[in-house]
Amino acid sequence: MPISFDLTPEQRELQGLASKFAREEMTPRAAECDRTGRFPEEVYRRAWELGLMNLNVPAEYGGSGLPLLDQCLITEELASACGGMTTSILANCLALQPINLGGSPEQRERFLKPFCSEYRLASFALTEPGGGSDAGALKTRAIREGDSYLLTGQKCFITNAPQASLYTVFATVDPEKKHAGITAFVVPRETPGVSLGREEDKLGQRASSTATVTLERARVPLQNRLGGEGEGFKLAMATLDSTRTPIGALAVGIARAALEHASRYALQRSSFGVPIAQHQAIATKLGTMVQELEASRLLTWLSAWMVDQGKRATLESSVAKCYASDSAMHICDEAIQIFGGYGYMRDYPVEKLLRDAKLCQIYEGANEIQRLVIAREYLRRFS
Amino acid sequence: MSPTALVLADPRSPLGIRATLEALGAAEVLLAHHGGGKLVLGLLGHSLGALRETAAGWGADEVLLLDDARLAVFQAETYAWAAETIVKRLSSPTVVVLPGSTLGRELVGRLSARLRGGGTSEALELDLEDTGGIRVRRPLFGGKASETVSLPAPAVVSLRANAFAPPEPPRPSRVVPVLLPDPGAGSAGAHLLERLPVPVSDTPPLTQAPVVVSGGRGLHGPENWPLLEDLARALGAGLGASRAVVDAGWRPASEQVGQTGSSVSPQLYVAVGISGAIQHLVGMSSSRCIVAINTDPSAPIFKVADYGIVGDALVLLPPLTEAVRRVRAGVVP
Amino acid sequence: MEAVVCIKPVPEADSRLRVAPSGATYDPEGLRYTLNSTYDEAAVEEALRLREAGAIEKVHVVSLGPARAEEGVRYALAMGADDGLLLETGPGDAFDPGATANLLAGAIQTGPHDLVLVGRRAGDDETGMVGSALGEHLGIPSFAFVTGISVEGPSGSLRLRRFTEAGEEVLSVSLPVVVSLLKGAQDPRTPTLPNILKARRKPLVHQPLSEVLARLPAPPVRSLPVRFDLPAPRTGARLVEYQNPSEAAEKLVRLLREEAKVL
Ligand SMILES: Cc1cc2nc3c(=O)[nH]c(=O)nc-3n(C[C@H](O)[C@H](O)[C@H](O)COP(=O)(O)OP(=O)(O)OC[C@H]3O[C@@H](n4cnc5c(N)ncnc54)[C@H](O)[C@@H]3O)c2cc1C
Ligand SMILES: Cc1cc2nc3c(=O)[nH]c(=O)nc-3n(C[C@H](O)[C@H](O)[C@H](O)COP(=O)(O)OP(=O)(O)OC[C@H]3O[C@@H](n4cnc5c(N)ncnc54)[C@H](O)[C@@H]3O)c2cc1C
Repeated sequence: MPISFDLTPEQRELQGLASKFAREEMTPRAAECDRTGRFPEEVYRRAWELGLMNLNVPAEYGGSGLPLLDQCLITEELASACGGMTTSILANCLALQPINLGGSPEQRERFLKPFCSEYRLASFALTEPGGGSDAGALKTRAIREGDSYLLTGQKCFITNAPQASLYTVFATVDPEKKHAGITAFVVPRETPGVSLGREEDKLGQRASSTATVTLERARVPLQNRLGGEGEGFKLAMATLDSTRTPIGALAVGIARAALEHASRYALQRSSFGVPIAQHQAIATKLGTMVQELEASRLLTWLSAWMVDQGKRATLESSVAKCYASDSAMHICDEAIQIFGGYGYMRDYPVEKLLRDAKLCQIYEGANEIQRLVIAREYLRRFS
Repeated sequence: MSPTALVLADPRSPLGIRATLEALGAAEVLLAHHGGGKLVLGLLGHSLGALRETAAGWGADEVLLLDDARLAVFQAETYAWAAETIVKRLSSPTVVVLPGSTLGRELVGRLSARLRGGGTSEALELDLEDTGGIRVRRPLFGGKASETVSLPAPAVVSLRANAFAPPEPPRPSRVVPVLLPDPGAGSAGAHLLERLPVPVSDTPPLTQAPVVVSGGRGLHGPENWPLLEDLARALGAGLGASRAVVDAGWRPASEQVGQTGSSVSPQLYVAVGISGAIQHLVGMSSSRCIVAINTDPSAPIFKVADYGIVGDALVLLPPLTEAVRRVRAGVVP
Repeated sequence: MEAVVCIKPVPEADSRLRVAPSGATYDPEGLRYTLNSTYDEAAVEEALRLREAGAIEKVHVVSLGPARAEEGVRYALAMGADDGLLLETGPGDAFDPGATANLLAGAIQTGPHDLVLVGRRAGDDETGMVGSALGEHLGIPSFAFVTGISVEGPSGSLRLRRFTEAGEEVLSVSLPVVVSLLKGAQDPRTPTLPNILKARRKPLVHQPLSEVLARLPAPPVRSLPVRFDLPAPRTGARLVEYQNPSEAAEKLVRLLREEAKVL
C-alpha cells in the first residue's frame, strides 16, 4: 500500500470517541486527581464501558483487537487530557500483552475474556527494587514444586497494583542462567503470599496508582505459566516492543496539550505593548515546539504502522518513545517558560504536564536504554 | 403596486402578544421605508372573544379574523393552510412577517414551503427589495456572526424576539372576518389533552447560561450579593464571580470565571465591580455582548466591554434590575 | 412503525470562523465538522429509546451534505441507528433550510416514515425551519418545540408534549408526523468502540443529489446569501452618560435591547 497520512473515517471516529471521553470525563477531574492523588475509578470504569481499555485484546476474546496505529490515535487524545489516567488505562494493555503473545489458546480464553466481559484491572510486574533497566538480572525466584511454582520476591513501581485483580509476573527459575532463566506467570491477586506495599506518592501522573507487590511463596499452578521455562525474557521484551509506541503517543498527547496552552496564552498575554507571541524569542520557541511535536507524532505513527505491517520495529519503537518523551519534556518546559510566573503556579495547567511528561522518559525502558537499543540496532546494519 | 405586509398574531400568551406587536412594528417600518403599503394582521384561532377588539387596537390597517374550530389548537399544518387562504386574498406582492414566538418560529418553515417562497427565521433587520423579496439580516453560530440573505417573493420571515419595537402610536384597524373553506387541510390532526402551567425556571448552569452576571471585589462583601442575584434572576442569568471574591470566600469556587475557573461565552456578560484582569478576561471575552459597571473609568474591563456605566454598583444595581424586569416578562427558549 | 431522523453536520461550536472570499458566507476551509451535536444527538437518542421500548421497529438516519457528512451518519449508526442515507452535495452546492427540507422530503417520501424526527435547530444557521417545512413537503402534520414523545393512546397515534409560552401542552397526534425536538432525550449515549467498529458494516447509501432533484416536481426555492459578517473587534466600551441611577439603567437597557439586541 502506498504511504498515506490520511486517517480513515473509522480512525477519525475512534479519535472522536477518545477525544469526547477525554473532554467529558478526564479533563474535569485531571487537576483534582493531580492534587489529591485520587485514583478515579469511575473514569476507568467508564473507559472500559466505552471499549477504550484492552485495545489490544483480539476480537475473539471480546476485545477490539485494534491495530497499533489506532491505539496510538486513541492514546494521544486521552493523554492530552491527563497523562496519569492514560497510563492507568494503558496498563491493562501492557499487562495482558504477555498473555496475548505467549499464552496458549486455553490461557487466553481463561485470562483475557474476563477482562472484556467486566471491568477489571491487571498489572505488568517486571521491575524490581534491585533494578529495572537490567531486567535480565531480576531476583524474584520461581521454584517448581509438583504441578505448581512458588514465587518469592518483590516487584516495585507496579502501575495499578493496588486495584489489579491479576499480575503478569516475571521471575527466574535459575538466577545462574540470567536471561535464559526468566519465566512469565499469571498471578491472581488473591493468591496467598501476594501482598501490597503502600501506594507511592509521585511527582506526576498522580491519577494513576503505583505500588510494590511482594510475593512470599506465592503458589502459582503450572497452567498459569506463560510459555516454557526461560521464555519469559523474550516475552517481556516482545511485550515492551509493542507497548513502547503507545508511550510515544502518550508523550505526544501531553506535549500537544502544553503547546496548545502555550499558544493560546502567547496570543493573550501582552508585554511591552504587544502580545508576547509577537516577540521573536517566544515565536521561535513555539516554532521549535511545533517541529518537535510534529516529528514525535510522525515517529509514533511510523513505528505503529511497521508493527501493524508485521515488520520488526525495535529501532523505530525505541526512536518514537525516546524522541517523543524527550520532546514532550522540552515542550512542557518551554510552555512553562512562555507562561512566565503563572506557568510555575499549580493553578495553571502546564506545570502538571511537565511532571506528567517526565515519567515517559523513565518507564517502559528508560531513555538511556532506548538510546543503547537504537544504537545497537542501527550498528547491526554495518556489521 | 404598493406592497402588503401580513403579520400573523400569536395571541396565546403575553409573550406571544408582545412578539406580535414587535412583528407589527417591524412590518410597519418595512413598509414605511418603501413609501408605505398595507399592514394586515391575521388573527387566527377559535372563540377569540374579547381578543377581536384588543387586536383591533394593535396598529394594523386591517385585521383579518379567522375564528374557526379547526384553529382551536395551534398546528403548523392547519395554520399554514389558513395563512395561505389569507395570502391568496391579498393583493401581491405580499411579505409575511411572523412573531418571534414559538408560533412564528414554527410556522415560518411550513408557510414558506407552502407558498413556495423564501423563508428564514430570527430576523434582526428587514429590508424590502424591489422584486418583492426581502433582505434579512439574522444571527448565526450562537450570535458569533450574522448573515444577510435575500429571500425571493413571496417571502416569509419570523423575527428574533426583542429585536423590534412595537408600532408607535398604535391606531385602530378595520376588522374583517374571513371564512375558511371546507374541507380543511390535511389530517384531522392533533387533540389537546392537557395544558401544564408555565414552569418557574431556576438560574441556568454557568457555562450554558445565555446570560451571565458576575460580581467582583467592587461589590464590597458577600452581604451585597442579593443585589446581583436579583439582576441575574431578572435576566434569567447564571451567576459568576472573579477569583478575588472566590479567594475571599464570598462565593463558591464553582462560580469563578477565568483562566482558573470556567470559560463562558454567553450572549450577554455583565461584569459588576470587576477590574478586568487578564486572567478574568480570557474566561469571558468571547461573550457576544459585554457590559461593565465599575467606579473606575480606567478599569481594564472597559476596554473589552461593549457598554459601560461608570458608577457605584450598589447604587446602580436596583434600578437596573427594575428596568430589566420591565422589558423582560419571561424567557422564550 | 419506522422512524427517520434527519441530522446535519455543522462546524464545531468553538470553530474560528472566517468570511469566504465571496463575502456572502463563511469559509468552510479548515473547519472541523461534527454531527449537529447536542440537538441531533438528542433526536437520534429519542428514536433509539422509542425503538428499545418496542414502539418502532427501525431507525433510519438521513443527512444532506458533502461527503464528510458521512461521519455524522456513521456516528448515528454507532449510536444504534439501523441504516443511513447521505444525500451528497457537490462542491459549491449550498442549500438554505427551505431547500434542504425540500430535498430531504424528496428522499424520505420514497421509504417508510411514520415518525420523522429533527433536532431543535442546526448549530450553524440556527433557523429551526427544517422540521415544519419537511412536514409541508411530505404533506403530513408537523409539531415543533416538542419536549417529549410517548407511545400512548390509540394505535397510529403518538402523545407529544410541547413547549409554548403559555405552558406545556400534551397533544395526541396521528401518524405519520414530523416532530422537531426542543429537547430530546437527555444524556444521549456515547457510541462504544465496539459499536463504532460494528457500525462500519451497517448500510450507508450515498445518493447523488441529482437523483433526488430529478424526483422533485419543481426545483427547490432558494434564498441568496448576500453577506456574512463577523463582529467588529472591540474598541472599548460605550459609556452611558447619566444624571441619576435610574436614567443610567434605562439607557443601558434600551441599548441592550435595541442596539445590541441581547435582551
Ligand atoms: C510511575 C511508574 C510506573 C511504573 N510502572 C511499572 C509497571 O507497571 N511495571 C513495571 O514492571 N515497571 C514499572 N515501572 C518501572 C520502570 O519501568 C523502571 O523505573 C524503569 O525501567 C527504570 O528502572 P529503575 O527505576 O530501576 O532504574 P535503574 O535501572 O536503576 O536506572 C537508573 C538510571 O540509570 C540509567 N541506566 C541504567 N542502566 C544503564 C545503562 N546500561 N546505560 C546507561 N544508563 C543506564 C537509567 O536509564 C536511569 O537513568 C514504573 C515506574 C514508575 C516510575
Ligand atoms: C495564577 C492566577 C490565576 C488567576 N485566575 C483567575 C481567574 O480564573 N479568574 C479571575 O477572575 N481572576 C483570576 N486571577 C486573579 C486576577 O489576577 C485578579 O486578581 C482578579 O480577577 C481580580 O478580581 P476583581 O476584579 O474582583 O478584584 P479587583 O481587581 O480588586 O477589582 C475590583 C474592581 O471593583 C471596582 N469597584 C470598587 N468599588 C466599586 C463599586 N462600589 N462599584 C463598582 N465597582 C467598584 C474597582 O474599581 C475595581 O476595578 C488569577 C490570578 C493569578 C495570579
